[in-house]
Amino acid sequence: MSDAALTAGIAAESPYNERVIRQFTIATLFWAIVAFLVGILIALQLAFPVFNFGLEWTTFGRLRPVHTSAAVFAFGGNALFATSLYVVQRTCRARLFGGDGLAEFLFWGYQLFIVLAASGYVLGITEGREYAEPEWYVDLWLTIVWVVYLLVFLGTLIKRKEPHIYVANWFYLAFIVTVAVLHIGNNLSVPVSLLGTKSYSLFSGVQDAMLQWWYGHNAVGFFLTAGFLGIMYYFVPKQANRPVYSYRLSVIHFWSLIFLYIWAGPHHLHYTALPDWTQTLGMTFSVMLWMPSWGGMINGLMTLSGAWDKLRTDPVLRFLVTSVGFYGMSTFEGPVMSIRAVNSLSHYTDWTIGHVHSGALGWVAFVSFGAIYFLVPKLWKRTQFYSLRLIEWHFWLATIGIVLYITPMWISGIMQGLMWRAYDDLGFLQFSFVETVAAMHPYYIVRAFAGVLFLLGGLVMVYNMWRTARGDVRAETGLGAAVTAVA
Amino acid sequence: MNIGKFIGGGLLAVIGLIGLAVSARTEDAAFSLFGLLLFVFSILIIFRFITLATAPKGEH
Repeated sequence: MSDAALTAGIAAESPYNERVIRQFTIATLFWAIVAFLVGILIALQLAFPVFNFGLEWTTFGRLRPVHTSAAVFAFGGNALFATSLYVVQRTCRARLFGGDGLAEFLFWGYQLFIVLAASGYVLGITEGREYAEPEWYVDLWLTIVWVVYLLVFLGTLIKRKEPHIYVANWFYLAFIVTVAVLHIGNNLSVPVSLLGTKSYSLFSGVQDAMLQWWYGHNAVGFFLTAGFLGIMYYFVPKQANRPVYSYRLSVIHFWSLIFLYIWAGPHHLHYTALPDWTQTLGMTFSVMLWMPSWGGMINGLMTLSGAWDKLRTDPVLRFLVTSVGFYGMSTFEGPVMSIRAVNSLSHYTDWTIGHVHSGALGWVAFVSFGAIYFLVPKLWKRTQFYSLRLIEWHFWLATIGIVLYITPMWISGIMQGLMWRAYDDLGFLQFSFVETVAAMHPYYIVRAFAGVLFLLGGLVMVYNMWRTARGDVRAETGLGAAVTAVA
Repeated sequence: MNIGKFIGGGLLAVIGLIGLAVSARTEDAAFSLFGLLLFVFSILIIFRFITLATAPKGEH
């Protein structure tokens, strides 16, 4: 079938706007590869400084936010757009509010935001706020795009033909509304000139730091958690062909998570000028967060009750279930690291990097991969994957990549923290800073290798999805042949 | 005839003009690029709006 005929066929068959979801799905795949590639480059830079290439545009300091923003906002963001717009239309039985033009603006407007942000980082234009690096003009543009997103999502909810709002939509809505509040609050700044890139924060000192980490932690809480829980609550039951284990638990999960998360930010500022009571407040709420997080994890895992056998034959479901496992693991590790005594060892070390990546790779990326594998055959009207074996390969490459990433970072981070605080008999520091850097070198090499494995898995996925969208089917025997059909 | 499409197109035109003005007046190369990108983006999306509005039903 030609592309034009396929497009016309899809438009005629579907009562929903699937074009914009296909666009966001393709963008997700593209930015995933960019994020992984830049991640490998900066990992290599830490192990071998020659990879800075002696150019200001390719130094670690400029490329690091390119990697984090590409992973969080470009790869993760596009996955959230694709899935949320798919889920809200299906569960509301309504086409997107605002028409196809507004959806088109949403897609291209968000891609423009990504390009503006990334080009700014490479050119050294930054507010210097972690995960909120873009300067004021890019922030303003994102605000416009985000308001349109809220309009489209909320408008679709309002015109729904289903009386009930499915729980995944609650999580998506919390993600959209809270990210808007966080983004505007944290980026209140005064431009030096309306015709220049530079601006200064409206706040200063510890208040500025507090605001930044209120934003930073809730970017994790609402962008990387609430939004992706929306994915979990729709795609795990769909792929497992089972109802959610407990709908009541999902509602408790939602309200407790959004109430507790917003207070946890101060744990990023232990042992700083922030008042002790505020640090304790952040720590306490972080520990309390463990319960709703595990409630959600249990709900996700138990949805497989009666369908556990599918894990043997369905690698897509394996991605989704493994992601929920990683969600549980990283939401246990997070509260532990927020305890002040533990934080005194872990903070500023590679332990934090390992923790972030167990969440980002294990939870966010895996649940996104699962959703992409679910979406692509449906969006391109295919009944079979090109290759189930390649999904298997992707799963194992990525899983081994994650293990080889987080384990060296745990060892390296704890070693780093212990070396920093080691004293000799006379009370002098036992190690110089450069000795700690030298000690971490082997772990940095293993980490870069792990990144290569994760990238290889991503490339396998892109190839497989491209062939699937084209309608090709690979002749496979054994495991793959039995369950190639998508259902 | 949907009045919302005209309002959206009009707003995009204003954004595009702001981009063009910014690009012309700034002395900052990166900001000039931002203005140009905003202008080009607005023009392309307005054209897309027109395509969507004039295409026969089911072709987009």
